[in-house]
Amino acid sequence: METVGRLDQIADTVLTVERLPGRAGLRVSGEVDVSTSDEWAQVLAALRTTDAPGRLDLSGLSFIDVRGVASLVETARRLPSGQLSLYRPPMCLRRTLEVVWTDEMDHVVIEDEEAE
Amino acid sequence: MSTTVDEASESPKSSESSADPFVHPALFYRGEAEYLAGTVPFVLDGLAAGEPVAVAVPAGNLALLRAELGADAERVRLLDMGEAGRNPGRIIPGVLRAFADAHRGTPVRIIGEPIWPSRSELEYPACAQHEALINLAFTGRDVTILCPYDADRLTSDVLADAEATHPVVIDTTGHRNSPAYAPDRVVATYNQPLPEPAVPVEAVEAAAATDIPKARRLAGARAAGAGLPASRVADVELAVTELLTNSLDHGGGTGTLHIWLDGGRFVCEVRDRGTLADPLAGRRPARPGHPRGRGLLLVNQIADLVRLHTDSGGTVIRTYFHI
Repeated sequence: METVGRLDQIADTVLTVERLPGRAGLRVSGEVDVSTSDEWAQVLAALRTTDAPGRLDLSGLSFIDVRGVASLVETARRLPSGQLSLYRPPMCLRRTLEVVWTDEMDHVVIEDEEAE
Repeated sequence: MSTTVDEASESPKSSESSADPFVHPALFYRGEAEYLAGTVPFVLDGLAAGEPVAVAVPAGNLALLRAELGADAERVRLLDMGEAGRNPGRIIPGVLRAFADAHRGTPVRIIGEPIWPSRSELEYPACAQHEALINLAFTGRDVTILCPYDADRLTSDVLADAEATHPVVIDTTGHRNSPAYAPDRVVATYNQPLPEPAVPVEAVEAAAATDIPKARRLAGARAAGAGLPASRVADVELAVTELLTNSLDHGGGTGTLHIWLDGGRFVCEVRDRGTLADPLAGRRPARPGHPRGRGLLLVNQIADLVRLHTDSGGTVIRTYFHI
């Protein structure tokens, strides 16, 4: 049997959030998975209380798992507009939406260019 | 692993006396003429009846059928099974149910050819299990799925499995019920311990939530080092994350990730102590309003091949990514 390696030399994941300067919405950086799910839930709760339009800058996000996308889509669906704009989401989020969220794609709009 | 029953597809709607509207014949053909004789009337009869028709077969047979159908081909959904069905685990959600579910309320016809002579030994057990699970996935549905088998070039073992996974067999002598029909047995027969890799394997254990991002970064780094492009490295990271998250939740709280290179394939495997009781896990299409339980579905859709072994001692899910 092979030796099982150790993971403790690799740094922990973090998820940070800040308000977008001069406009409504939030900017999130880091990684979303089961190790940051509480922080992600707080981000989504904050979005629900932020003034419209719902906008999430994900240009600093490097990973999001399927559950993270599930709660994101669910949050978007429940916004008054029923829609959330995602600015520069990571490749894995686009991939997850395209492969297993084709049914609810209307709730998220992907933006790659800076609006205005 | 939790069992979710999808009432839209698997509830036993028919009583013992009423026939299941789902029809799943194997077509044993020898040569192009028999292929066309067995498939073209099936397509044309469906079109004449106003039924939606899809054809998902390997590229060579797809070209043959397209040419023979002529203008009628435009009314048929044509898919290269070598692409759409490269991983057999994605055929039910991504090809068959994707088409059938888009046309609910009307009878649907599909030609699905998931097994061809160049399918490897590595792929074949997943192919046979897929054919067997079609029966479970479509019970009660008004759908016909015709599965062509190249009787000249496939082995007698493959044809024997086809008689066990299809209630009806069609050949030049006509239709006959298959007395060997036993799909559950095929699922069980191919649920075998996976062969041990013959090359060095890197292994790490994830026993806590904070281990998952670390395991993901390790797998991503190894995938990039193996030469996978950025989009496929992202797929590897997704697959590893979903499998290990499932292990933490349902697999006894610990999952062990194994990574190695097998010829031109990058391999990621997750082992845990759970038992996967639901044979259709990862094979049901996502349902609107039901956001949970899409992790294995995603893994099936993005990996080039998924092999699985599960029993009371634990579960091993091995995913392959072509370099």
